[in-house]
Amino acid sequence: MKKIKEKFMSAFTRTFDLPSEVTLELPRITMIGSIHAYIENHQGLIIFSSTELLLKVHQGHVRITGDNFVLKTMIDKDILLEGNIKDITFEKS
Amino acid sequence: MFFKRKNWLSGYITIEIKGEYPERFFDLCAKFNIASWDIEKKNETIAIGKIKLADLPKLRVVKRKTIHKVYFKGRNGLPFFLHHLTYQKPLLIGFFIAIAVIFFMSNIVWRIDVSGLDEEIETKVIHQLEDYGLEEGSFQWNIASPATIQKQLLTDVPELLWIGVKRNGSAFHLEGVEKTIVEKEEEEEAGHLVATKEGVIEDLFVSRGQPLVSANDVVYQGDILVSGYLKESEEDDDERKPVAAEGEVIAKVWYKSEVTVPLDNQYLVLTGEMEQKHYLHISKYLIPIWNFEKPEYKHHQVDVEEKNFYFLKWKLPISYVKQSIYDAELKEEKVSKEKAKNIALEQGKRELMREIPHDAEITDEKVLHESVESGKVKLTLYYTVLENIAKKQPITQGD
Repeated sequence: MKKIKEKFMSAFTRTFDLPSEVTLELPRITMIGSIHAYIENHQGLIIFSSTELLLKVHQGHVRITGDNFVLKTMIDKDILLEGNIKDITFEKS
Repeated sequence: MFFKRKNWLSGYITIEIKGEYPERFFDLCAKFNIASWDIEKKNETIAIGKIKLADLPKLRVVKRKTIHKVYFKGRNGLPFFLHHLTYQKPLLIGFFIAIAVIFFMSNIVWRIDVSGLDEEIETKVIHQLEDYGLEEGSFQWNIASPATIQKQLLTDVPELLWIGVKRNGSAFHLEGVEKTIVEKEEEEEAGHLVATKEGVIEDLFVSRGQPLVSANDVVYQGDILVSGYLKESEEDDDERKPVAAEGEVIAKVWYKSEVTVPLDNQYLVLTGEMEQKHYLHISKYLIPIWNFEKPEYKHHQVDVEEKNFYFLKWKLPISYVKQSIYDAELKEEKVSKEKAKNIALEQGKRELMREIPHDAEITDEKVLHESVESGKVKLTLYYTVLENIAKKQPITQGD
């Protein structure tokens, strides 16, 4: 049932050319070079340290690694990460 | 940057979280709509971050749901700064003294400029001003408004023809014009004398020029009475040289006027009793500061006096208002028809005197019509006046 709904939604998004982060509940990550990362639409912070940030997103996790990490702002669903970003990985669960 | 500035104004707190996975505390904060920023993890169990002062009550709710320990590390922003200031009494006192001094200074008259007058009259004016309490160093709230000073000066210094009093912040500028007797220049311009009004000529005194009218002639407005051309010559017109005609032409002029006088007169008489009320006028509100009672006068007349305060060059929205409430009595007077008629005659004469020149003479006065209508006496008056109707009119010479 969930699979069908997801398939329908992605087809719906493609047909009407809608922004996918809204309809599919996907995170939107905006980066400025490697010093800033702006993550919108995440579903919770799991781990944060000066070298690592792990966020729960729809259907998995996003792991950002680097050093000197500081969370510049943290509002309900948005996070602005500042630091030296080296790697971003998506982990499907 | 703007975000930070805004937070500085409303105040923010630095909190330290201790416990396993301290970052999850901030995640929980975010879920409870508490914005946080500058979050740093010091080590495995300690993280610090900043939240708004206004979110503090919400933070307490969050705190109860977690096992983390919250410590307050720093307070920043305007609310804390102000709070801190209250402990710095000398600074605060100094600040208020400075404001008070500036306020007092702003309400002092610093300079009085008098321009356009002789030294003699200038000193006289300045002495007169001192009598009114206006001199350098006096407070502005003791001084009457420029308009009243202007009026007083004009009556008290007879040498003045006109004086303008202007207040410019803490300085007074006076600009005067002296009465000087201007030697009447001989008007050499050639011209006729023409009639200004319709009338019958009574007398002619011509010192120069050729009179064109004689006694008992009827003249209309604009008629030439005395010509500038001395004689009617049959020769070339160019030969005739006009002169400036001079003289007086006394004529009988008639005036008609209508005067109405009511038979019932109602007027207010001040009994002499009065109350003074003092207010502070702040923007549009009147706040009574002295004498709160409302006088129980049936009829009254109110005089309002307003004094403004200044701070540097700005007028403060606060002013002091003094109200003098005078008790008045309504008097009713019934006038008999005869008396009303007399009043009307007097009134008509007074009005006429205002219209005619000073040297004119009223020779006859007639009541043409008299009627009483809805409590009013209506008179139509007819006056015969002897007055000089001659007016100079230059001859335009085409050149």
